[in-house]
Amino acid sequence: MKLGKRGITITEAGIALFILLISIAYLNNLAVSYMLTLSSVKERYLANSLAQEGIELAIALRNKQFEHNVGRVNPTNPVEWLGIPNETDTYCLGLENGEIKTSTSPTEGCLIIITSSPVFYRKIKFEKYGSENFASSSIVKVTSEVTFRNLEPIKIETILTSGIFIPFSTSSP
Amino acid sequence: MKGFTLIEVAIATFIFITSFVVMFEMYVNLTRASLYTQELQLALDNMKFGMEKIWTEIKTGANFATTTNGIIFKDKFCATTTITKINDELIFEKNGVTSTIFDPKLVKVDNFTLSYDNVLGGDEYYKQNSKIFIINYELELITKNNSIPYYFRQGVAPLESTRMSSLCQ
Repeated sequence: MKLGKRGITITEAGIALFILLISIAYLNNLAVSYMLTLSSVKERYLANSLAQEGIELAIALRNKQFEHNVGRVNPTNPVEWLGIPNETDTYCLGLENGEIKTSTSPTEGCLIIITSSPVFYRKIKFEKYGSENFASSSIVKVTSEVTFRNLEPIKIETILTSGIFIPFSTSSP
Repeated sequence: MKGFTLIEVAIATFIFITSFVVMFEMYVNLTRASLYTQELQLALDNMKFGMEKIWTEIKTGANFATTTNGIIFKDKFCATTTITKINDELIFEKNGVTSTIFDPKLVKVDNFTLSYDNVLGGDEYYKQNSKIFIINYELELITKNNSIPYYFRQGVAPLESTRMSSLCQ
């Protein structure tokens, strides 16, 4: 047996342990942040669905006008097919007692409360798409925006057309 | 040659054991958290998959009617389709063949309700069918040790809702 061989000092062992401890602590921290991310994913998925719901409500509102106008464009108010009077405001759309309700929204959007979730705000904007004025538009861009927890808002856009509506002048009732 | 005293050995052992216990506890927590997130991710994926199925079926469906616990309609090939809540599950039935929308081991359905706009009434298809369905879910995402409540909402405007007559008579 070879004598005088130097072993590990307590300082060296301490440093090694410290490094190991830091590594595991860091991994632990990663696991916790992954859990938080997963929780945030749940909320973002719900926010995304609420934004999509806004788009679906806009489509349904357009389709609802079909019932009243029997698919014909009113020459005195061509954009009537959309169910929204102007592009300067943002709107709240919702279903209440079997009716699709529209109202102008506050700046931050309309409050949507879903149990055990953060508070969501949604606003829906209708804008002209192309060269026509909004009032005579047959194509409109719809943007549904949902904000929550002061995070980056979730936006979904779609294009709505009056394709299912026929001008009064070219069709009989 | 000077060796270690008993006190030095005791202190070194104490430091080693304490460090080892702390590290072991951290490692166990890490493993537990990792398993939990994996299970939760699995439940969340299963839920998303089921939700997308419901959304697509209603979007492309026609001739809707609500039932006590769900909805009955014709799919894009005019096959009779139902989505019904039975016990803690959402049952999907098409042409008499049933399946579950969510994996019952991963997602529990506490409540499933639909709201929709009133129909005008009349002979034409567009007067008989709702233009929007809002679906509310009260779910539980199940992991090995607990379940996480998840409230969810979906809006669907069926594509066929402005037809003069139904494709499926």
